[in-house]
Amino acid sequence: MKVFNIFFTFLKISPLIFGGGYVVIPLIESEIVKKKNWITEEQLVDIFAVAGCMPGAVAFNIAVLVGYKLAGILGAVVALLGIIIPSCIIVIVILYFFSYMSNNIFFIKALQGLKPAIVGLIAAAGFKVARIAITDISTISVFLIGLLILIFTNINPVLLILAGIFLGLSLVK
Amino acid sequence: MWINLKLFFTFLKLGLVSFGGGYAMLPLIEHQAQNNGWLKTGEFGEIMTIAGVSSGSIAENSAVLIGYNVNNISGAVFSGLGMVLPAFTLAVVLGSLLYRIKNNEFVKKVFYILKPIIVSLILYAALKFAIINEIISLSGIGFNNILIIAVSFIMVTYFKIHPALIFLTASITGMLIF
Repeated sequence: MKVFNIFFTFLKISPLIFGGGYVVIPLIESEIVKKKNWITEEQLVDIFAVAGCMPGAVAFNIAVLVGYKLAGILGAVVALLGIIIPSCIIVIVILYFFSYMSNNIFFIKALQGLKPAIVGLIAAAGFKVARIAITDISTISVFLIGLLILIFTNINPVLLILAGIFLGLSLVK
Repeated sequence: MWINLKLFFTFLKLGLVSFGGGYAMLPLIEHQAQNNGWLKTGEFGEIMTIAGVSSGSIAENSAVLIGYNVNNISGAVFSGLGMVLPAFTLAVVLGSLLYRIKNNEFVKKVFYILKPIIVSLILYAALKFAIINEIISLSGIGFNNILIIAVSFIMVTYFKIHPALIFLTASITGMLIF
């Protein structure tokens, strides 16, 4: 029964993932932490950290990790299917309506309103993780240096993550 | 069937190297699609736009659209599965490790540093999304945009409003004010 519940929860989240995946953070929080109490916020932030370090779409990675945590391999599979099926169907449907939609003034304006909201929600996701992740002067410094490197250099984020892993390991006494 | 397998393995390969987010993947996807003769020049631009405005992952959406273009629904399914399989496998492996060794001293320290880095990645993603969609540009940022960004941020952070409701309100607001 729980497996169906996991599947339908992610099925519901899937059509709402706009703008690169991090929007899934407030969505998962609403659905899985607040409504269902399946996991705690602390556990969720750990999951975000792992998902952000992996290849692939961050939203899918988060879904798989949450699904696995809740119900093992089967949970991971249904979470993945739940989160990809609706958006894959939607994208094919949009393929047929796109030339009509891209000339429709209401659609263009709705999109213009939607896009800044996506920015707000991604920022909110960052803020949410920050409240748990940034606890002292060292974590503030890591955050700021990381952000500056991303903005001003063109390095692959993977290198930043690897550097972080090495830095973390070097802190162990 | 042969073409489906070809799609599957091509996107499996791409899925393996899909570090750095969807937009970083697009040139690789385009290269593979064109090498295989799956797209005409110029078609990729449209696929990219559709994959970007649709919900879900832009890389996964591109895979599904290219697969669909080549061999209908079955092509879409095989391409889509190929693309997600590597990350899925890794997530399951990492997940099983994470939940087992969470209290290990090394893991704790790595997380201590990784979490603030993830914050920079997320905020950078917000910034990049704003720039790609011309919400922020060199000429500045419009008042309407600031307003929608701020209101959505506050609504989700402090009032715990469901994101779906925020998207709906923002779209309607867009129709009214732009």
